[in-house]
Amino acid sequence: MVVRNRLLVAMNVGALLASFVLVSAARLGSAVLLLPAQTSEKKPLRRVELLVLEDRSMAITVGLHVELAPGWYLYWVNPGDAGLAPLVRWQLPPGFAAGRLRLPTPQKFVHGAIVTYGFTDETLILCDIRLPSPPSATDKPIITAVLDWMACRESCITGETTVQVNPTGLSAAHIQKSRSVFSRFSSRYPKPISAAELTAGEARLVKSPAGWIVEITLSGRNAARVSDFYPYPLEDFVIDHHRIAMNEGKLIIPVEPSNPSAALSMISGLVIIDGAGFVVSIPVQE
Amino acid sequence: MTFNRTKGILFLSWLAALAFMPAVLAAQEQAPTIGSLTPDFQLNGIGGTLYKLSDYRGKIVVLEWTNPGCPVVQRHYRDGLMPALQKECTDKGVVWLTINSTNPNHQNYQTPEALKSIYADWKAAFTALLMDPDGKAGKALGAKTTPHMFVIDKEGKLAYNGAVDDDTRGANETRTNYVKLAVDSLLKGEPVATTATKPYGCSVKYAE
Repeated sequence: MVVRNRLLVAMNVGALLASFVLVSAARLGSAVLLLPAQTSEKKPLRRVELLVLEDRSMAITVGLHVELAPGWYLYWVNPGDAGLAPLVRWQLPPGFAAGRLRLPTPQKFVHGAIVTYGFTDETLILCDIRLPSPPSATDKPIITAVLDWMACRESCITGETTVQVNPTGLSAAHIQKSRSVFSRFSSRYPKPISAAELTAGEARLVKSPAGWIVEITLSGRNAARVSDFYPYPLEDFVIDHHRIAMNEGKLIIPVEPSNPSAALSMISGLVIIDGAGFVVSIPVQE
Repeated sequence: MTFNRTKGILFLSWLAALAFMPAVLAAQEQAPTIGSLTPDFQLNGIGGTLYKLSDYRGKIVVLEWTNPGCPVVQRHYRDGLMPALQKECTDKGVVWLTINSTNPNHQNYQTPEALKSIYADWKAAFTALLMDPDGKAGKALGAKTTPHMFVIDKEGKLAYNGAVDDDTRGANETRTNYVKLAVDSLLKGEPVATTATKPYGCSVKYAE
């Protein structure tokens, strides 16, 4: 009788503790908790280099490879509740044009109610550089990238780093390095949502006195495996990243309009399954 | 005897569950929304005076979250942008409370005396700089970044929440200053056009 009663007590206390932990973790999704670093290193970016990853007749794919010191992180295109997204200014030969930046699927960092998205250790920011047509006679087609960054650990540091590459006459070492780095990263870039056998059926804006939410209905074989949603930046709206949640097959994204006439016509971001990102971009209905 | 003690422990554990759950859920509730009453707080200023937000009912109040260790805050002060805005607002009768919610265990923490010196060097023109070391006021308002700005109307309701301006890098030749626009609208008795923007800067260094 005594043993049974002690077991009952332990089970009840355990249930209490478990419920507390579960409620506290309800919105973490696939978050990563960052702990304060032990050192006070002031150079968060250990190495920044511009790699030529692919050279086609009409375009070159370059990769801005950033290696970070331990504990430091760089932000994603949507940094989240804090931080600054990396910006790249290109200095290109005449006739060359840079496409949009492509970043890997980020990690999610949670500090209390503050959610941010970014990269630890290293990241590889891709960009397609279109070549002029017809080709221009350029002796030294130097491609220059000026990276404007904010990196954080316990504190934050901002900076600007300039790197260059001449895509003609690349050394064997550069080519080998580029292949090695790209092979490390190639699986980390977001894929179309169809690759996850998912369909985003409808995005609906629901307005109430308590606030506005966007509901995205997901269906497909892997809908139940979706753990999170990392939104792309949304103009004229403030996203409550901490309260993004999955509820019965629907992604719930709380948003606040910047002004009374703000209209939400589209929402985009990454649906997260097991840490992998799948792009969804969907019109919003009211 | 054992049975009664067991019953007592069981009862207390469920009572504790009932007590804890609301606190856990409340911790994840939203910050005040635009148009709602701003939560009151009492904080000590760097000079030791106690400041209570509700004492300023009848005045427009600007709350500015700050951390002198944040490079974005440093830019705003060293470029003279924040002091100029503070002066412009306080000259018009606005109360400007700058608040530091950095937890004392963080490497960015500065004592009130050190903050007094730093912000004097920066020629800050706030009404008061307040210490919020346990982060209660910051969390109640939902302050996420430094800087993060809140503008409160004369009735104590939240009129603006977000960034100080739209120039995240300090690189623009012209910038839209949301705080100035909100304050000017309130002074004229007009609706605030832009009520919420995404604040930018370093995260507030709350105690975990």
